[in-house]
Amino acid sequence: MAFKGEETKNRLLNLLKDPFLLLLILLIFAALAIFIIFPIFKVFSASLTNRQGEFDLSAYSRAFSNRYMRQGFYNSLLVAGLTAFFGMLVGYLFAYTVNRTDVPFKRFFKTVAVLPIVFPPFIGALSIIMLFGFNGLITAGIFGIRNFPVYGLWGLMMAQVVCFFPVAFITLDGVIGTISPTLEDAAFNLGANRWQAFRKVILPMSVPGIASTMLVLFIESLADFGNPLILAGSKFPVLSVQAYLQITGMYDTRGGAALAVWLLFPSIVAFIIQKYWVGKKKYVTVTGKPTTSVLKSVNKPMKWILFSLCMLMAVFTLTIYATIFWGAFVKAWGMNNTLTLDNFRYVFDVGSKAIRDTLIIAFTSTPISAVLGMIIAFLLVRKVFPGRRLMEFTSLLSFAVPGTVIGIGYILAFNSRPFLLTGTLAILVLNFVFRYIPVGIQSGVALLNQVDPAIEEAAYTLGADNRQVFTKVTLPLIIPAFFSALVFAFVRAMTAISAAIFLVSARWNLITVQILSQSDSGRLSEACAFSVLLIAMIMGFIFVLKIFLKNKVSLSGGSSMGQG
Amino acid sequence: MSLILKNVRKVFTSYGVETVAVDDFDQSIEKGQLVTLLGPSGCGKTTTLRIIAGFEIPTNGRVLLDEKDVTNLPPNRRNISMVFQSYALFPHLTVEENIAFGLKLKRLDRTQMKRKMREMTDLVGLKGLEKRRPDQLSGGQQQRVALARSLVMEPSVLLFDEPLSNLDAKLRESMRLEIRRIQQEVNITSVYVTHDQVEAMSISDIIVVMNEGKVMQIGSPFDIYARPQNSFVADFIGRVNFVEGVVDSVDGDTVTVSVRSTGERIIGKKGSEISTGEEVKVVLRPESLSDRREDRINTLNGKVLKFVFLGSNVEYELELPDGKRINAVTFNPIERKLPVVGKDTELYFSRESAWVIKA
Repeated sequence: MAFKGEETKNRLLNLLKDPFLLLLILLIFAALAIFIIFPIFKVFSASLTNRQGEFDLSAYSRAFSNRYMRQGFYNSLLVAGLTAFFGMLVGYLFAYTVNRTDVPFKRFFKTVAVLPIVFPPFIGALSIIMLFGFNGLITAGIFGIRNFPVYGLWGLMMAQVVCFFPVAFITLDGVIGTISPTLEDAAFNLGANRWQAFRKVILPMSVPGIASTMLVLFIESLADFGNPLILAGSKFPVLSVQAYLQITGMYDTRGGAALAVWLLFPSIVAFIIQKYWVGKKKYVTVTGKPTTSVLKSVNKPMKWILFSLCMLMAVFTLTIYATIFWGAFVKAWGMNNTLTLDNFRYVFDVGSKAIRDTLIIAFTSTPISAVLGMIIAFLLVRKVFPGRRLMEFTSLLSFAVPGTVIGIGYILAFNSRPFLLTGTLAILVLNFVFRYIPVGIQSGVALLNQVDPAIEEAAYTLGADNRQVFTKVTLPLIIPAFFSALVFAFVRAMTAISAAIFLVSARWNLITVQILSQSDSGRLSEACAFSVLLIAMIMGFIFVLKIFLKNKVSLSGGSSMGQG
Repeated sequence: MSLILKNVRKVFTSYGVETVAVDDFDQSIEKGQLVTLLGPSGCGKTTTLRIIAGFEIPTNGRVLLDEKDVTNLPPNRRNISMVFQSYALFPHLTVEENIAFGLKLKRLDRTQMKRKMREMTDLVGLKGLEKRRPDQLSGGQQQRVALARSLVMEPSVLLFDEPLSNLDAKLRESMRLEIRRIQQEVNITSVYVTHDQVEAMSISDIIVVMNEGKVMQIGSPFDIYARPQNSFVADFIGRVNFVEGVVDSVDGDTVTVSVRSTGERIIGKKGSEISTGEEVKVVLRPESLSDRREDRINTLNGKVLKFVFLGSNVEYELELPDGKRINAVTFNPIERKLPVVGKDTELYFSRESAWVIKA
């Protein structure tokens, strides 16, 4: 095939004529290799070698001979499975009710169903202890029960469902919202009743969305660190917490790494199934014709049943967050409920450094992450180069790798030259940048796929080079994706804990770590005050960005702000 | 020569299957010419255009622009502009900013830019719309912006990728005249891709008819229609009847063919290299078949099967004795009688309109 060789040669020559593009691709590959692949590799190699540097499986046999550790593995999978199922169920309930019935308070339900995304995930756990724990407002305060089994499986699952069901809602809202009501009309017309129409049309069509949602929730739950640290307790070990304790408590890095590898496998499997199998099975019923149909999917009693269920869940979710706010303003939760501002005084006194550090880290990593996400999205959608699929897989991989694994990987990978970063600002910033690019990439890719490639080609023929096309045409066109990446990266950077807890130091600390250590030492009100401050800063950022966007880029229509 | 394509070939490989999109395209285009690439979808015309623009890299062959090899130059380093099917206007920029986009990249000074912009908005008729955004323009206006944006760059070659296919029929007709007027006014070398033969006929200096990646014929609109070199071109352009036969004799460019089914003789013009005894097709356009003999030397006998009265003309279908069906058109039916279904009829045609090509 002589001519093929010539084409490859031509293509390479073409790439060489554009050194900027070539350099960019190489740099991104290098960065992904160093900051995503290398740390994961280090976790593997640490778990497989002993002190003398020889191949050694003893870390695994040790971990597995320990019944406690084995239990941790089962528990992690069990919680992840249950959270995936119930989280999906609640998400589906909201998505179906909002899209297929004419219940009142739809906007309220929609808001509640996305709200938890902007809150630190482990706040749910904190609040559940305050409501159902030893001094719980509901258990002890109302019913006088002191030993309600809030620690362990059910408490943990409850906390995770509350903070992760929005992920399910957003996906399923997209799925159910795009199933044309005329399909149900057609089913009715062919003699189906409401239940049959749901079971034979709507449900099968949402199966890919359901499967995808459950896999994502499964990954999120496995990776969760804050909730189990607070709620799992010693009788219910889970992997992410055990790996952390193994390293920080027992100074056994190898054992921790081995547990991390056990945590990594199910996550990666779920990720691959989600991305390469379920992700491809999507039904598209967008016809371009206006589909105005009167909502008649459910009958009256069913409508009110759905409404009540949504309302119950919404009230529960709001109670969780309201508890935090209330807790921040009382003297000592459950014992002395007089209102006070002392907690905030304490926060600004003890935590001012953590607050400053958190903001510096978030404001540094967020724009880098968003810009990098857009650049990678641009390369993936618009450029043909060797290794494109590999770049896609690697850059999305960090979504699937639990923070605990990445955190351990970072301390192993960057504690010696040439990457001596331990204890620095850089290690936290880099960690956040590379952990939170996937969302930017995905929204960038989705938006770019809707932009006619001819628009960019037109810019090329008018003399723009790759850099100019990106900055003058592509970026302005995908501004909404850029800002949603910005918001997501900021929220995640502000609320990060699982990887960050390995990377904080005396020099650089985080509010989230403060919240955990405060609640660990029983200072719940102080933990609440920290949380309220954190939430206020996140809301403030989103608010300012929204105002800025209104004046700046109104042409691109409503941007999908704040929905991660 | 403004633009030269030398033995350009493009092979796409997907899942191990190779598809030849463009096969040995070899053509030179002179300064100021408008060359149309015409063919059914999938014939390789758009790929050829994208190779010229630099969006595709040819598998073999070279692209020369103003005597310079640009085969490996990226699109932005070739002095070529393109008008896209979807217009591809920058939605975040105004009309003015769209047109100025390339000039700004060239860092032109303000006064020069202003002058060029004014000339251009006058030329394409966009005065008063400078501050609008693309979504506030009609399809025709968007098309004008796309044209202005490309022209203002004063490219060596201007490319058109089915620029009119998104417009309605009326607008399409006026826009193609407009494009031709502007193209001739600024005397810019152009390559124009379309699948619409009427469009190609009406604006081109040269038409390149393509099929399955191969060039079928290159010639003026008249040549392509009146002197097709093969049955694909004859069939693709306009309506046509083919009568099969065998060559009796060749005398210069005059060929005598005996019709296979009836043995009747047809005297026609030689359309491709043929010799005595060879199987051939006689290309007969419906409008060249007349019911009046006058000085037409060839005759066809048949029965009228059906006819359609269209006002300015009558189209009818004739069945020859061997069962073969022939289409014919008569113009100005008011001055003659309408055909009668079932009646035996004789049709006459001249030597010039019987174009003989290889079967």
